[in-house]
Amino acid sequence: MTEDRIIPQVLLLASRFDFSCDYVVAELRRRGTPYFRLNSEDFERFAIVAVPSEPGVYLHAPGLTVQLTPETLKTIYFRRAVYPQEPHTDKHSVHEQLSRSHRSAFMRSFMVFDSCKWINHPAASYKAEHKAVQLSVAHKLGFNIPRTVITNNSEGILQVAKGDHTIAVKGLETVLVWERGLETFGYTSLVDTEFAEHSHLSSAPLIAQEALENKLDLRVTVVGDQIFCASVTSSGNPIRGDWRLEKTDAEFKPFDLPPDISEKCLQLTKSFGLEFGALDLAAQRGTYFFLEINPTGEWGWLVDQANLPIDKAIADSLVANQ
Amino acid sequence: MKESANRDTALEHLLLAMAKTYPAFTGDLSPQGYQYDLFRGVWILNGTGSLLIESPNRPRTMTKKKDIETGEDQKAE
Repeated sequence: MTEDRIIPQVLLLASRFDFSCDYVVAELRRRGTPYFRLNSEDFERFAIVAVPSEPGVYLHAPGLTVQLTPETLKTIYFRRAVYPQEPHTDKHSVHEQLSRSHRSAFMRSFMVFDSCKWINHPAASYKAEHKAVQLSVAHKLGFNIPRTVITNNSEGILQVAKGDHTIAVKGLETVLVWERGLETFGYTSLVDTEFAEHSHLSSAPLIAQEALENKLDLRVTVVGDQIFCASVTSSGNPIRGDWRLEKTDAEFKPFDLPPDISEKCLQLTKSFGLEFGALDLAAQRGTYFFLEINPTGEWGWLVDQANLPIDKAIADSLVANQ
Repeated sequence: MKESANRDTALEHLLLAMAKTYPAFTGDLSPQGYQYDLFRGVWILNGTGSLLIESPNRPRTMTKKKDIETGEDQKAE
């Protein structure tokens, strides 16, 4: 059997089912850039030897050797979770829990390649994932943000409502839990203020925000100095509440941001040390509000549905320093 | 879609009360008619070698990886 030897300049750390990554791979292939994609599902296909002191990582599979060293590896595209939530639930066997937690840790261990350019570096993503920090930084940069409190009591709810009958609530981080074969996921919810005020809150602080009615959702994707924006509508109309609840009917169309808002998006992304950022904004009667930034946000559907060449921009960024 | 996890709703936190509950997906996530090429790092159409993303009949990409609501970066792992 002949053996392929890959000495990548670009490493993609992903999941097999991360189809957005396929777009980037296709672009790298068109450019003839040596790359390798390591998926969390593929660990058992490889014999792995990593030497932190070199540093070097060597992967062997039948017919394939992959050699990752600082001399040749220039860029790492990190598409994995910074906050893994699932490994320690009883949804999986103990063996699977161990595998998941250690595969995740191994992916983050590539931080030993500290001379590489990262999209994004896990440490930068870690900080940027915190919604409170996002809102604070966005406010300092001059973004409008919805009136917001993080609270676990009714006083906080009333403070943010300021007499409004409806407020928006969401988790401080992803609301995702499992119980007896059922999965529960939390969206941003518009709730009656009085209901929220009398709900159980004390055990977990949440984000309570002024509800932005009649807003147009905007999805902004920043890659380096490039910026892409799509509006999110349904049958041509803005969507009330969390548009993800209507995503099967949602339409995504290219949208021109005002230059000062584009500049703020770039500044915010850079201020977190991120090369990539997926920002959620809302436009309400000519005022643009920052809602949140997702350092490992999705974008593949925007290539397909809004014809935004985000895949090419990411490939540009991955090969920029080679 | 909404199913009950048989929690005590009177004591349920507001975030759980407002969340959506559905059967956890346990099936095969592979797109039908395609296979993953470990060497090339892409999904390819069976028997052709052409890339999934260049196939006119490819599954529509969605807003989430696998279109499963595990957060923007598939936080489950």
